[in-house]
Amino acid sequence: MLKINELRTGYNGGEIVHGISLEVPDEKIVAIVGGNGAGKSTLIKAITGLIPTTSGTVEFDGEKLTGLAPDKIMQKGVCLVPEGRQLFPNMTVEENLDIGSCTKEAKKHRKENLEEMFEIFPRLLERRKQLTGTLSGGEQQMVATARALMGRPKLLIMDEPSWGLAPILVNEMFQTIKMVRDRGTAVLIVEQNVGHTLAMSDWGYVIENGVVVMQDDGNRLLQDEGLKKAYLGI
Amino acid sequence: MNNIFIAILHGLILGGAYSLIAVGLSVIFGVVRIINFSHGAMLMASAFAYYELFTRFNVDPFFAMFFIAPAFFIIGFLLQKVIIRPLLIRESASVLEPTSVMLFTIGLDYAICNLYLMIYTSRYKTLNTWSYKNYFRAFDNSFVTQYSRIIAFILCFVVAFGLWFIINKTELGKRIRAVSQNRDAAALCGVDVHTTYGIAFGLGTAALAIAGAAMSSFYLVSPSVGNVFGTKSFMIVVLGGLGSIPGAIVGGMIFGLIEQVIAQFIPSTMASMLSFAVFLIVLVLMPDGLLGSRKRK
Repeated sequence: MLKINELRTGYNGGEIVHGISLEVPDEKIVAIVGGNGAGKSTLIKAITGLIPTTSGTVEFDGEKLTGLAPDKIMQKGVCLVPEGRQLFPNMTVEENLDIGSCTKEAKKHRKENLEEMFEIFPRLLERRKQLTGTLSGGEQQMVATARALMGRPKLLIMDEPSWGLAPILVNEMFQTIKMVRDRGTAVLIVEQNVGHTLAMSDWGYVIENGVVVMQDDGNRLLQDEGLKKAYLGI
Repeated sequence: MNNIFIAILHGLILGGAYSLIAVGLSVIFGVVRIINFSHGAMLMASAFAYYELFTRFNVDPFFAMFFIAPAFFIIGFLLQKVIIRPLLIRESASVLEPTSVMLFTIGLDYAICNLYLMIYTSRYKTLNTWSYKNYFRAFDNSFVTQYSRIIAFILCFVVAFGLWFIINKTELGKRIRAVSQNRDAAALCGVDVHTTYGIAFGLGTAALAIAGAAMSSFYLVSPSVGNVFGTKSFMIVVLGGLGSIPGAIVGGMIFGLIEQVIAQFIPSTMASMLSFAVFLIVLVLMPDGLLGSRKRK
C-alpha cells in the first residue's frame, strides 16, 4: 500500500532522514519507533507533503506522492493525526470533524461517518458543541483521531498519539488503533512509547539518527536484547 | 436639538463609513495573516472605476458596485493566487512570518498610486450623484447629512453581516476559519489552503470596492485619497482587534465619534490628533485591540 524508497529529507539543507525505506501493507499496523531526534516526525512530514523531499520516492497504491501538496496527498487516502494534535481551537468539535470531511468524496459520507465517530468516541457526542481549545488532552486526541478518520483514509498515520496522555488513556487509544485496523484501514504509527506500540504492531521499524537500524515483527523486536536495553530500560 | 446629540449622530454616521472601509482589511488579515498595505490604493482604484462609470455612462456608484465588487473579488483572488502565493510558498520554507508579502503590498500601493497619478493627475474630482447632492434632514433640520453617508452607514452593517455570515455560517467559512487557525492542519484535512486564501483575499477586496462606492459618493476622488482612509483603516482595525469583524465596526465608530464629538470642544485638527492618542493608549493597555481575542492553544 505505502512504499517508501530511499527517502532523504530535512529542513533548509540540513538532512535529517538519510535514506529510509519502508512499507506498510494493507490492513496492518506498522510502527516506527526510536528516540528523540531520530527523524521520525520529519519522515512523517515528508510523507504527508508538509516538507519537501530531497531524494527518494513515496508511493501509495502505485501512485507517486512525492512532490504533491498535503491536501492532494490527503485526497489520495492518507490521513494524518499530527503530533500535538493541531486542532482548530476556536471551532467546535463538530466543526473540526466537518473540516476533516471537507473533500468532495468524504462529504458524501459525512453524516454516517459522524455517527460512527460518536459511536467510537461517545465522549465527543457530549462535547460536540464545545470549542476544542477548551477540551482536555484526552478529548483533544479523540477529536484529532476522529477528524482524520472522517476523511475516510485508506492509511491512517499517527504521529506520537500518546503524547501528553494519562496512562489509562494511552491504553484506550491503543485499543482504538487496533479497532481502526480491524475495520480495514492500515495504520502507520510513530511512537516513543516503544513497549506498548510494538506489542500491538504487525511490523516495526527502529530508527536511529535518520536510518532504519532494525525491522521485524513487533513482538519479536520486543525480545531483542539491544532494543530492550536502549528503549525499555530492562 | 442638543449639539452634542447631533455631533454623536454625525460621529456614528462617519464611523459607519470608516468601518465599511476597514472591514475588508480585517478579514484579509484575520485569515491570510497578511497586512495588506495596498488597501488604500485599492480603495482609490475602485473609486476611479466608479468615477469613470459615472462620468461616462452616468451610472450611480451604488448601482455600479454590483459589478465592481465582483470584479474586485476576482482581482483580489488573482492577486493572491498569482503573486502572493508563490511568495508565501517560497518564504514559508525559510521563515514563519510572511514579511516579503507585506513589503510587496507596500510596493504595490506605491505602484498603483503613481499609476493613477500619471493617468488622472492629482486634481480632485467630485461625483455629483444623487446621494451626493441631496441631504437627509431630521430633528427640525438640525441634523443634516448627505444621503450617501446614510447609505454608507447602512452598508457598513450589511457588509459586516454578510462577511460574518459567510465566515461563521457556511461550509466555505468553516474552511476559511480552519485555514486561519491552523494552516498545516487544514491542508492535512484536504483543504486547498491557497485557494481558500484567495477567496478570503477576494472577499476583503470586494468589501473594499463596496466601501469605494460609498466613499466616492460623499468624498473626493483623487489618487491620494487612499492615504487618507488607508492609514485610518489600519488604526481602526488594530484598535478593534485585528481579524475581528465586530472589532472593525467598534473601531470605526470610536474614530468617528472622537472626530465629531471632541471637535465640538477643541479644534478639529486637535481632535484627530486625539484619535491617535486613544489608539496608542488602547494599544498599550490592550495589545490585542478592544475585541481581539487572545489565541487559544
